[in-house]
Amino acid sequence: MDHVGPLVLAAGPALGAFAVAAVARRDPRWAGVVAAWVSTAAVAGVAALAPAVLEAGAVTATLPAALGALRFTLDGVGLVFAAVAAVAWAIASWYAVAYLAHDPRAGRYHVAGPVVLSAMLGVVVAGDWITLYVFFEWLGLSAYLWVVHAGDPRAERAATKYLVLTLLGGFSVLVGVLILHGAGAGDLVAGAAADATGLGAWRGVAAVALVVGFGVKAGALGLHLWLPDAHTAAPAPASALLSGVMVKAGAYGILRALVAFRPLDGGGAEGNVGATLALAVIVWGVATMLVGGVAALGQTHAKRLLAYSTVSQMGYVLVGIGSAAYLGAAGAIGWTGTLVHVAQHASAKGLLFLGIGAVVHAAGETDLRRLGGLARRMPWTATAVLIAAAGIAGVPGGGGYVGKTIVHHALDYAREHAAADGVHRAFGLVEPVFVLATVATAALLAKLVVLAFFGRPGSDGARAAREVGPRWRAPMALLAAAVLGLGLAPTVVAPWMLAAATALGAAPDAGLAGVRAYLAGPLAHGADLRAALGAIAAGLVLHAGLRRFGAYERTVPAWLSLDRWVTTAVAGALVRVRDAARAWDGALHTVDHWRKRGAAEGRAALLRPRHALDEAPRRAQRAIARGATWAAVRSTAFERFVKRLDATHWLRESPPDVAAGVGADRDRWVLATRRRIARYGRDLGLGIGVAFAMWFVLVVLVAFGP
Amino acid sequence: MTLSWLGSVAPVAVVALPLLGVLVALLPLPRRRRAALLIASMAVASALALALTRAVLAGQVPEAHVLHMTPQFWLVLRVDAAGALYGATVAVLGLLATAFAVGYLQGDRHPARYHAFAMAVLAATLGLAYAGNLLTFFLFYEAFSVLTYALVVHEQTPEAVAAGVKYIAYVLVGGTLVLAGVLLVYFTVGDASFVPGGFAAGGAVVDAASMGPLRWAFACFAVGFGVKAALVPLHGWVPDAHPAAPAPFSALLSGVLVAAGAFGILRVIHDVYGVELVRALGVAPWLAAVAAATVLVGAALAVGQPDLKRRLAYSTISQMGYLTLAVALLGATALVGALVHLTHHAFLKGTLFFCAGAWRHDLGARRVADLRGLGARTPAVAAAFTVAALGMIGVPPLAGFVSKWWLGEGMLEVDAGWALAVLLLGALLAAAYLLPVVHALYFEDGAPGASAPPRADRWTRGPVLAAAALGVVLGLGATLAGFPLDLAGRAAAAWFPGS
Repeated sequence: MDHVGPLVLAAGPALGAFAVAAVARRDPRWAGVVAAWVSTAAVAGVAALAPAVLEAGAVTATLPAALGALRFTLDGVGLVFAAVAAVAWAIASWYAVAYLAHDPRAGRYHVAGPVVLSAMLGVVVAGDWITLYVFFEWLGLSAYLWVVHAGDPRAERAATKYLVLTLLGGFSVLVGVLILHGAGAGDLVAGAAADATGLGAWRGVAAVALVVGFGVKAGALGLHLWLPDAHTAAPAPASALLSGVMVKAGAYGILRALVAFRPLDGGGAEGNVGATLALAVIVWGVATMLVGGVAALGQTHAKRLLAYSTVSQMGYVLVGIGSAAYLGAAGAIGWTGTLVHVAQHASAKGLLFLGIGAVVHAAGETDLRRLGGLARRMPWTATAVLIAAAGIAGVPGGGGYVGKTIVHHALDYAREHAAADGVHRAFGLVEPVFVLATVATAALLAKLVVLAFFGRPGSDGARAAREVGPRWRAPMALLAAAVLGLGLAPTVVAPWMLAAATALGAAPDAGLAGVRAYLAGPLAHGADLRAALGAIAAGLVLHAGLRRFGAYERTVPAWLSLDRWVTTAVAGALVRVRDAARAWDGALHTVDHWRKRGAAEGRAALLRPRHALDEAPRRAQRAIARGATWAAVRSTAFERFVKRLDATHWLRESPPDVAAGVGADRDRWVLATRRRIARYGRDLGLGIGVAFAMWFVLVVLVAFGP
Repeated sequence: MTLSWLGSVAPVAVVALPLLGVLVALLPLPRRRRAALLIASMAVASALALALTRAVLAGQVPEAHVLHMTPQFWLVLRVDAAGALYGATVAVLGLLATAFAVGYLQGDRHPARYHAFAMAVLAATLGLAYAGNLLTFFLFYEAFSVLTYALVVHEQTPEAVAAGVKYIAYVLVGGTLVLAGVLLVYFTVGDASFVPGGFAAGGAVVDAASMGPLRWAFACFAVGFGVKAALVPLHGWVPDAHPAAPAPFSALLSGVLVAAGAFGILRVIHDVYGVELVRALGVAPWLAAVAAATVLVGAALAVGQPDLKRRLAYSTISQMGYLTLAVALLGATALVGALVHLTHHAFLKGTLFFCAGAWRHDLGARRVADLRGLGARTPAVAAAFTVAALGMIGVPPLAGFVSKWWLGEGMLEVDAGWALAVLLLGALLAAAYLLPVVHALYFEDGAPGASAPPRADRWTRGPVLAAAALGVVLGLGATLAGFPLDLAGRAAAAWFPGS
């Protein structure tokens, strides 16, 4: 069904940003209010489109631009993501009005808000891969404004790392999109890439490029390095949206990619890129869950802990996507679990960041060891954070319980199917790891809540903390309601989830009916309840044990940090490459430099010894230096030769040490040269002018003559 | 609209109008009147060049036998799709650069000299774009190469003089090699007019004995044009000449004149040798390897250059590497990408150099470090720079994205995954050398006390904004009829029949 709605959804907030910018020039605080209204209007827009989407399955729009046309399609999946994004955005934007009330750069933050929202909505309403890529790139770039917001060196470093990884991810996505588009499989249709002929060996490349590219944004293990720094550096409402919504854009991309590469009629794992990819995503997701959870347990910075928890939670989403894609037509349960988890994580993790933002504002501390005892001083905030933590930990009654339980079931089915398809037995290990990660999640949230809100205050700031005002509390209350609503009455969102599952190719048979029945009464399943409570109890014990034995007091050794290794290695390699290139270019082209300093000294500069591990690069450098010396000597001789031939008399004199020259000699030379050049230029100009004039006359004569 | 009258007059007029500008520049006129006349002549030339693109798209081949120079050699102007695209790019960027120069040269002691030489260079470059045979091409190529020297040394500083010496040394050697190539081809095959498909399509017989000389001739062309196209390691003149030249000319140099080298290689491959013969000679992979190295080395050297114009010059080396790389891959889609990239890069890089010039002229800022905090003080110029920088990196939907998209599709078409990797690595490095400038503009604080508003000038600001707007329009409207993609597709169809 054609409808201008998706286009308005993708472009509207960005246009609203102009209004925000206009207001921001006068008063940044009112700019925040305008931005919040723009986001609220986006919620209304999604709500207005929802009936049409649920009825018709999808609404489409087309905008002629760039490579032909940008195509927009809002189907059930996009609708869920769009709704989650718009609602979270509106709430966080209202919170931001209060949070940034005294920030001198608030204007920039508020202008960026609707732009990023536009990009986010554009990603989820995109109708083909090119459109998706266009908005995905803008999402990554515009969110830079939020990461860099604080402007201090830490934020700068975080923002640079974020940008580099975002660009790399974007290029990876571009490779996948180029390949798919070139093979005529550019539509976001289930199975399109699996069925396209002429992809050949490129099919696997495209699949991996897409999953890796989106994996950067989704914070998948190994590609998550930007995430903890960026979340820590950004202002709290931006962290809430980064963590709650924007990383989901990566998950959304992976979801679309898996669906595109998965033939719907199933088939075994052999020779089927889609199935292999789905299994790989499950394993990757489980690893992300566990590593993210364990890393979070080691953090003492409140926002950093939450950021690692986000990594861990994105692991659940990956497991859900992978399981559902592997199950193919029977994947309704996986899609439902994934989408419920996305929605609940957006609200609960958003709420945690907003709550911690309030704590940081009130106490001026972010180190959990310096907080404590805030439950009495900030009861509203403490309640909200407790609800959110319980929600994510999977306490029955919160949204996390529903999401995780369904994802767990989906993983179970996928494991059974995999076993039936002859996948290696080791794949069965994913389930125990899944359970372990759930235990770690409960423990890390217990750590956050207990250290921040209970016990004795660890600093004067914590002692002096006072509850935040109603403009802070209202957004938190809304999100808390969402967490509880998803947990207690998920049947409200059931039609949306089922529409999404249908759009993704899940067969409308008993599977969907079962999911609907499950969502109607999630608390009525004894086995699930026992499993969830058992995991939480284990988590609490783990937390208590770690605390009792002083693990929280110790700092994690630096060599354990993957981040540190990768960053150092990459940055070091880049600097090394740049220096080598510079030395080479300088040697090759700065003849004066060589003449002045002499080849030996230059070579010494090139071969400056570093340390033992550098032997190989040094050998390469020595070879380059030898070539460069040769070239320099040659080009010096050549230049002399050219000068001798040069008919321009005024150049026969060489400048007295142009680069380092001082004093009257140089000035005199400059003046004299200028005079000569002026004279010469006049003569030459006149001569060439006359010649061209004659030529011109000739041209006209010949062209128009007889 | 019938365009038949364009047939033989328009190509000649497009070349002649800037020559008229040379005369205008040398007449002792008041500054304003001279500016108006110069801009008018370039505006008419641009309009005619654009009309020629329409004519070519309508299926015509405007042609003019201008001058019978020797018994064997006619000076021929013939406008095909690629030539029309390149010519229109030169004319429009030339118009913008002329307007920008009027503002930039306020306070310069020799504005007339600058304008005279710049107009002469533009005339020669337009002639090169429309050249109908190899000797005509060579004639214009040499003319603009030599004339450029006067503009490189225009500012008459010791640095400019040194850059000029280096420039002329490089270019004379390159030109001589091109001449050698022309002579070799002429005496091996006998005819050197541009025919799609090369001599074979033109009826010449290429036997086994002539393969050797032809291979040597190709090497001469590759090295000779490679000097102009800034192929590593022949790129030495570029980073010195660009900062030395006045900014409006740096924009032309970077935007269209360096591209003339790649355009020459393109002409040689498709109109002189023909794709089949080039494949048979087996020379293209070597050229592609050199071009790939150019992309990466140029970009790596641009990262962290303190002087803004020098950084942009290295960027040009890298970007022109894309052009040569795509041409050397010998694929239809890659060729479309190359031609589109030629035009899109011209306007994006033109914008960047105009911005650099505006900052240097208005505020004396040469180094990237001098640009700190200018985002607030010069919002229009900073915004133009940001748009063009994002375009260069290939952020959709700006012009650079469209050309990189087609380059990427073209590389996949010929199964050159490694070239795609080079393309993307180059784009990543482009981000690494351009985004820090944007960062300095907006996210770093300037020196205290530097808050006085700059000397704004509509002559400098107008062309800056116009060029940036073109960068956006060319991206958003890329698939419209009459846009570069259309012409490039036409050119590729002529050279790769049946694809």
